[in-house]
Amino acid sequence: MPPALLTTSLVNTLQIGSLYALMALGITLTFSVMKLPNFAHAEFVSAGAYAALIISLAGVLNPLLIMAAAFVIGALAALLSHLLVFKPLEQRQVSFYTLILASFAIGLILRYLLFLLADSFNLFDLRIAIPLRILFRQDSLILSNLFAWAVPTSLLLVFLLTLLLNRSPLGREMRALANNPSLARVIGIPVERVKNATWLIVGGLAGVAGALWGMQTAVNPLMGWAAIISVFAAAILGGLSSFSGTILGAYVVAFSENTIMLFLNYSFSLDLAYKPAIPFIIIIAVLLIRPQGFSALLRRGGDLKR
Amino acid sequence: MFRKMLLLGLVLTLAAALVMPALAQDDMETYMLGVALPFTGSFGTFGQDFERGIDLAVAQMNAELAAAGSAIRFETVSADTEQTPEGASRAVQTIVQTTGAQVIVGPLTTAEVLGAKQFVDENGIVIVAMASSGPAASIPGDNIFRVIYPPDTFSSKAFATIALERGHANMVLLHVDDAFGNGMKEQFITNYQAQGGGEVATFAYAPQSTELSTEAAAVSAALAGFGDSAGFFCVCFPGAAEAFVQVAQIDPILTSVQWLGNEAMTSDEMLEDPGHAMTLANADFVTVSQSADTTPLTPIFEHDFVAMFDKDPGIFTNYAFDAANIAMLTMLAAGNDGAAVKSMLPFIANHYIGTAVQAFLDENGDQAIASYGIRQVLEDGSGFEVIGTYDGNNDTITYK
Amino acid sequence: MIHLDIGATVIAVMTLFGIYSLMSISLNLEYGVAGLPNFGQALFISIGAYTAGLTYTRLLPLLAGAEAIHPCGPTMGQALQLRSEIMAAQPVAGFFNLGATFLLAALIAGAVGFGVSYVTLRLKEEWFLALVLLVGGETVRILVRGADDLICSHNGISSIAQPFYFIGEPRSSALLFMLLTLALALLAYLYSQRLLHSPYGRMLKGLRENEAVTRGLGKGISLARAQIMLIGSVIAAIAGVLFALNTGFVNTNDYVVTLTLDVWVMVVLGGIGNNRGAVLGAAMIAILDRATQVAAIALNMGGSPIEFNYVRYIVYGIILLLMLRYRPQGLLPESRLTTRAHEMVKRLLAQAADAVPAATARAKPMQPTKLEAGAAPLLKLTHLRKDFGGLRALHDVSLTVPEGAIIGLIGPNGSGKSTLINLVAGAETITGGQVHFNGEDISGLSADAVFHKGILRGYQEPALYFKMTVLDNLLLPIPNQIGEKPWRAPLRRSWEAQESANAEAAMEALRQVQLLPHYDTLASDLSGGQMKLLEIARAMMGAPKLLLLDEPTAGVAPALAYEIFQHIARLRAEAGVTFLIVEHRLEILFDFVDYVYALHLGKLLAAGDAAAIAADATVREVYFGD
Repeated sequence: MPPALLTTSLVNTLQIGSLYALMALGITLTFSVMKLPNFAHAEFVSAGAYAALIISLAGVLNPLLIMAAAFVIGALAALLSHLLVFKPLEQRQVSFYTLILASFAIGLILRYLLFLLADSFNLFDLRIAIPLRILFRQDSLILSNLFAWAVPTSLLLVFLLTLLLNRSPLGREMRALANNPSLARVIGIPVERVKNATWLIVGGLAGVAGALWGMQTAVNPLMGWAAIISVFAAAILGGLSSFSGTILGAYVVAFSENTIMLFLNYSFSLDLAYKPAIPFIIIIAVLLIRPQGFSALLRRGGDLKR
Repeated sequence: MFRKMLLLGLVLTLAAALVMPALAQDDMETYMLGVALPFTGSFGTFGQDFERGIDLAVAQMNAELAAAGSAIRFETVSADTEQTPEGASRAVQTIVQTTGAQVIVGPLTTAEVLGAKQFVDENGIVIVAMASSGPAASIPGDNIFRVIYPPDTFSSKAFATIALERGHANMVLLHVDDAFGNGMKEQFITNYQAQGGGEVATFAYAPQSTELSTEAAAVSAALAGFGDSAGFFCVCFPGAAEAFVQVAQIDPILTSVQWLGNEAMTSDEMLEDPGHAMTLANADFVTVSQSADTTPLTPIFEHDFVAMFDKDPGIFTNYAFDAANIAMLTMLAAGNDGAAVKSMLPFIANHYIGTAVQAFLDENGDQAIASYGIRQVLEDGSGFEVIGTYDGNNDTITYK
Repeated sequence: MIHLDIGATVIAVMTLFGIYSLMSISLNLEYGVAGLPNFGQALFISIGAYTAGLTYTRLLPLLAGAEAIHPCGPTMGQALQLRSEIMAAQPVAGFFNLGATFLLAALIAGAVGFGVSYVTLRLKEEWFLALVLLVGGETVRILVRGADDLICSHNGISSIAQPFYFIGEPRSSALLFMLLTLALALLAYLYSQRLLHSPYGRMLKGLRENEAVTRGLGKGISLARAQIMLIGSVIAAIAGVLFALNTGFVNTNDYVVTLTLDVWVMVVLGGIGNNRGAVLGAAMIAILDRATQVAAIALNMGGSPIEFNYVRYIVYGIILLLMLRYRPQGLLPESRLTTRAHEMVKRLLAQAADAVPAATARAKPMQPTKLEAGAAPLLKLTHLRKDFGGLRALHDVSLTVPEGAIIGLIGPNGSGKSTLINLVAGAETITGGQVHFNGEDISGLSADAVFHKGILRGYQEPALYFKMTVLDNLLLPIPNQIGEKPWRAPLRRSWEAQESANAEAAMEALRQVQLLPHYDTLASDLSGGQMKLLEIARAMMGAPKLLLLDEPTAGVAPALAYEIFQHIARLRAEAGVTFLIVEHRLEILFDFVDYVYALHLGKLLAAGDAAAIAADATVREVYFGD
């Protein structure tokens, strides 16, 4: 594998892995706190991307403002899903699989609402208009301004989230809820308020990821759905309970899709069209061989269950 | 309660079914023109734009028929193929069984055309496809006609010839992993190497990919491996093409070689982004497209389309307009009957002028005239200019 | 202009209805009845379709005596024409080919379904199965698409004619094909109804409700689940073959996650665990799909301002959410009276009512009887030890339970009583020491193996099958039921006599605990005391030698608590059952036990008869705080 290819693929791994991490943390958080593998997460990402696209088309080109808009819309979508669907269902104590189906249904509705929106205003495959520039170049190592936005933003948000979880009262309450919901209720934690806050954070992070993803590629209503399996693979690698495990999982998935895939393609002529199979194979392998993922390796900071 | 809601929905549907025929006037004869296209999903915009082209053709035809005092009117009936072969089969069935339509314009992709094939062959329904070009559907004697857009056998030859004329000793090809992309790949390699071309490194991207940095890295490395004389050829759909150019624009290798690309890459959105436009301009991006030729019908179509819908037609939309016209003219000549239309359609098509090029069908019912325009991005990236033509039937390139 | 061809529309919708019914019946068996979340419907359906793609290109020409032409690449057109000619002219070859396709698809899908679920469910939680299958379907799709020559992945295999194509008249051949799919759907329906009404169906419902209890009742659950996955997968694969034939085209684009979701929606809409509901769901989806498409046509003709085809999906999602919210059991909820035994009991009760008015068969109060000295030890624990992480829950506990005895096990909370019961019952792994039963070392055996040795356990919280009837609760534990084998279950005659005898035994057991009038009540509708009685009666149906009870009178009124112990004493006297009873109500316990072991902090504190323990100073100290 030529060094230039290796360098580029590692840069891609960092950039895409950071975005996967932002999305996958939301999956881990909903699974731990709400006991729900939320497939509608994909559409929170797409909704955030559309918010970012629309505000950028309106002339706002400051990435911070764009991401803020995406955060708000993603958070709202998540909160509404919770209040209108998940909460009433949980109160009826429906089964785990009913919740999964409900999340698919929410995803379907949101996805086609976005389609209707895109269809009415011709917003297919547009890019959030932040011009791409090269910031740093040394031989084959090229870092763009998008890299400079995506990676630090993701890392910063992940850091803030860890801080929130470990140092704030809300974080303590979320962890209590993750560990033992009935106990949390008994010791007087305002469960509904904590859940609302969790959904806002989860949706907001997904929205920001959508905005960054939309700067990286093109915005369309299927973009979140296309990435969701990789994101789930990252969360499952994290054992669906560990923050640090999920982040590591996100980079492992991105590394497999980029560097390992390119290595296999370069050295063994494995067709790149098999790339979508990589996260699938990771999921199956983890579930069958090591279902706790990385969570047992990293039992320290940022763990939701201790 | 839900039973009631469902019941209500069914009753309304039935009522609509019963009332609508009653509304039609008795002295008129209505010919139904089916339209099966993907109206949802990633190709949904294509489908809707094509439908506008078809609606324009039908409106013009009806106006002429009224002026001539004819009792015949055309009415379109459209159903969503959901962009899957099975969905295409269901959409065609629904159209036929709901309205009795004998002729369907569409579907879009070769896979969808093949999905509907068994039903239309068995039931004597005629399909007039406007943009399907995969060689897989080149089958003699069936009920599928692909009227204006020729099979990729020709365009792949054009691309191979251009690549060699540009002096590319080796090629790197990125293609969508479907019937169209793989057909193009195989034909291109055959033609390129038959004319003395060297190695072709190919990379496939999975359909519906939205992020192509891995693919870009692989293409870049392969180009680097071939050295200066290599060229790059992208067989990509619009969304993926955008994503690819996005990552390619800062790649030192990809920005230093010449690019070829299929016509679907030349969407308006592509040049709207200044970075993308400059990338294509620097790469001397060239495409071949069937629509670059003009006929007397070309400006009329464009003018009428803008007048009716207040927007420019998208790529390939004129082929949908042409396909609808050929279908309607055949029905006027042969009547509203699938078997008669099947028999008569090649004759009518071969006498139709077309918005870009005349139709002439081969024994497979596919367009046999392959007269492509060679279009290159302007130096400032503001648009495309026609720099030459390629005559597929004689395999010759003429530059202006 | 709408001009509905009613005949063709009905045929098309009914054909889809037949195919969808097969899919939903398959998922209903797996999820509705057995509780297995198969999110890999698309995988099993695709196996059927891909198999059809293979046989119609490779096998069919051979059956017709022609030379097979490679179906992909340049010879594609020729291969396609050959296929069509054979299907038009040689119906026999077509039918043989279809039979072979069904057989092959069933074999492959059955093997995959059995294998994947057996491995996954032995090792992991059941929702892992859901994810593995969901993801497995997509993986197989990508791999098949990559394996070029298998079914010409990129172009697909077109012109796969359905078997009645030779008739040449589309309406008649479509009608016959519709009849074929409906006949197969009916067959699947009848088969799954039979399964549901058999002891096998009862066992699957037990698995769905409470895996641990069912394991403790000696059922080999991994195998039973893998078997139902096999059956479900075979039905789904047959649906897949028909699905491909109905379109006449096989490729990889059709078998995506949305297909799986469609099948789930059918089952959830119609009724989970109810075969009629599954069929109703299939009918609704088949009709809704066509109706909304026709509505879209009508609306678009009327010049709708928005693209109605998007609205279709949104409406679909909303209907699904509303159903989940307001009608989570579906339109036709699961019936509680499914197994045949209910009819038998009803008949017997009617006969009894006709004959002599039954004497009040209430058992006479029974005085506790004491054990004779010198009985052989039935259960012997030697240095039994259990660690949880760094915590030692049991410290080398040794004790013996003589045959025919009622032995009490007491101790404050956290003293290790329940842990001891769990270790003996095989519900937890032993850290050290041995358990001997009847002189045989049974340490480390699984829960169902322990059951088959003759040990049965109760639970602190009543662990009944709450969504099953009282009668089914009693019948489930009976070992060696012929009708629990999936291949015998549909053959009603083979197990009916045994079921009838079992039902009579269950009636007798119910009569003794005064629950006979409630035989068709759901266990969840019983009172707390009745639940305890039912649990003991259920335990007796398993004909155990040793019954481990964990606080049988917890949460029960004092009068009933005494009655429960009278039943225990009677069972010992009449059926010779040995008891090891964890109990806090010492005042009752001490009236009935032969011998008592007291635990404290995981160690054996004292042992002796009731009087001795009651007088023991150390016991009094830890237990009564004296």
